[in-house]
Amino acid sequence: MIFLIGIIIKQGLGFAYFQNNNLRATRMALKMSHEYSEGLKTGSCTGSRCREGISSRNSASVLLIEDRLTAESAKYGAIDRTPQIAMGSGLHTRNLFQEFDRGESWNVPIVDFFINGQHFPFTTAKLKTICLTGDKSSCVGGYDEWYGDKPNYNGVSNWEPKCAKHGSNFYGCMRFYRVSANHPENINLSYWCDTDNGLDGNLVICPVSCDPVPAPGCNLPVEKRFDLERDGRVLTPTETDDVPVLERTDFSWQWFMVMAFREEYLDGKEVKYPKADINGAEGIILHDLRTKNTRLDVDSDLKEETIISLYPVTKRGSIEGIQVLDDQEGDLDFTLNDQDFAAGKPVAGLTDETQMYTFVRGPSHASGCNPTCDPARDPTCNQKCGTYLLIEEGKLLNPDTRQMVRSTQKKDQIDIITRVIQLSNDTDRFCDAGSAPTATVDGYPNPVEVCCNKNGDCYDQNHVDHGSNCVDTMNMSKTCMFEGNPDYVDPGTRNPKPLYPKIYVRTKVVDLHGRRWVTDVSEDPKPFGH
Amino acid sequence: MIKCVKDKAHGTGQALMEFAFCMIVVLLMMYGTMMVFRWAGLDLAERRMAHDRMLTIDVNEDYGGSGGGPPPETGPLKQLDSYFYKPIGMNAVWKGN
Repeated sequence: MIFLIGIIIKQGLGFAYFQNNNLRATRMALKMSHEYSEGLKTGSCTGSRCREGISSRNSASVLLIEDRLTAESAKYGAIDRTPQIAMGSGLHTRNLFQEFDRGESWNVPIVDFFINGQHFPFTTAKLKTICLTGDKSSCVGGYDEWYGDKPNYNGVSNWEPKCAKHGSNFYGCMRFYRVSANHPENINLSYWCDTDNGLDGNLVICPVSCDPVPAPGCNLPVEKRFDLERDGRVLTPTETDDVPVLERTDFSWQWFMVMAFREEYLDGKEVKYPKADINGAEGIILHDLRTKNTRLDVDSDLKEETIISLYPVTKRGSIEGIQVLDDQEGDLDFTLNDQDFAAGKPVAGLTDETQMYTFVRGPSHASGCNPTCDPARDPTCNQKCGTYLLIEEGKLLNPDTRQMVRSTQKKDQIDIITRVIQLSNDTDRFCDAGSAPTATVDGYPNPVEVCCNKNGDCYDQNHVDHGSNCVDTMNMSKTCMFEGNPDYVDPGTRNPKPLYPKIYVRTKVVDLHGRRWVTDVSEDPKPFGH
Repeated sequence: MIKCVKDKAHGTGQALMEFAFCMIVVLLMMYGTMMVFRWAGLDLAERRMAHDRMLTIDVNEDYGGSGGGPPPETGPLKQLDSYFYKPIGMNAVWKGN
């Protein structure tokens, strides 16, 4: 029955820990969402306007991991640790529809991981600026990439030379693509179609194609709309990424082309220059009062990005620069699809890898410790010689204190618990461009202690040697970030195999607890009158 | 014969005494078991109820936030206090700390 009581207590404590952590994660998420929306915390934002609130935790997510000692009364004390994992989310609606202005990187959404007290704020998106000029040499400095480097439809240039028309003059701009859903409203607005000709009355006829000569209201022909990977390859029995003809009416989405042209210039309301015509597909409106086509694929990764700002814009309305919020460029990319998995991109987040190492704290005998020396006589005496576990059992009466020591257990050890977080991109938030740990991350102290670049090794359990710069057993106890190596070649297969960044989270837990059972007999009458 | 009767009487009494002491111990153990069962369920339920109760208490809706006024702790942060609950005692044998 004693064992039964012990098992019940152990299970009860386990459930209590689990519930406590779940409730705590929920409260932490609610609290973070409230504090950042209210401006009580501002993260990396500086300045008085930050006190109005920032949007990074509009929808806060918290992952809480704690490795706690199990509740047990084994002879040598509790030595097993059980991971307590909890996840909570919270939403404060104060800044839910707050405008996201150009350059406001502190408003990028963030998820928070708390691993044994170490706080890791990871971004799930990133601001990116893209140059949209027809010639790469015309790009003014400060852009992350030039859109023309990523053509669509098997090398067809994204540049449309007859994008806008003023009088008899044509002006060029880039072509973007967005997803158009199979919905009656989209059909009415000519955003959806499933045939180029009208032979079958049940099908929706596509407008005229913009190739080879654009005309007002033109867009993609039906074959390009249903070329889901935009690779220009015609549907064949082996090329299955396109949608078969018989399935197009019921398919859920298709591509729709949008010109990099500001449509405000069409109605002349904001125009200082003569009214222009778009000679092709629709343009973009990014205005306080209305928006249009603000979710576009601007980097040819077949996923849409959110437009933040359009700058600069030419006098005729052609957009030459754009800043977007890219959900695939943050620390963690949660938008992976089958195409990414086929390309070998790993799933971001906490992995299954966990290791635990146990070390004694004191130095070894070889380094000069002496368990028998007297500290009162020798100031240099160091008695702590790597005690792992001390057990004293039996009766030991101390005549001075009249206490009978029944048993003593004492531990003096360090547990190093390693967990691995797989990242999608190296955003230079934890390790800067020079492979040095940054001082702060989102206003919090940086938990990463060591950075290893593509030539380094954070002492992976598998000890895969990527080079010689950072292979150091001293890193085994430090939270270390491996920045990845996009140029890595698998030595076995000799094929390119990009290595993505990882963070090795090392938690150092000191365990000094113990117990001593003492029977106090000092109040008992002394024998023989002593 | 008399000796056998005498030993049998002693044996019966001894067994009775030992049985009585054992039953006392068993009863104490059963009491401890029941109290532990009670504690396990009550702790979980009380914590959940305290959490829900804390989330719905009244707050000062005019809290100033970053723009001044009553301190933020009087607003929704009051409902999100991390130390909202103290685990109840097990009291398996007697009430203690």
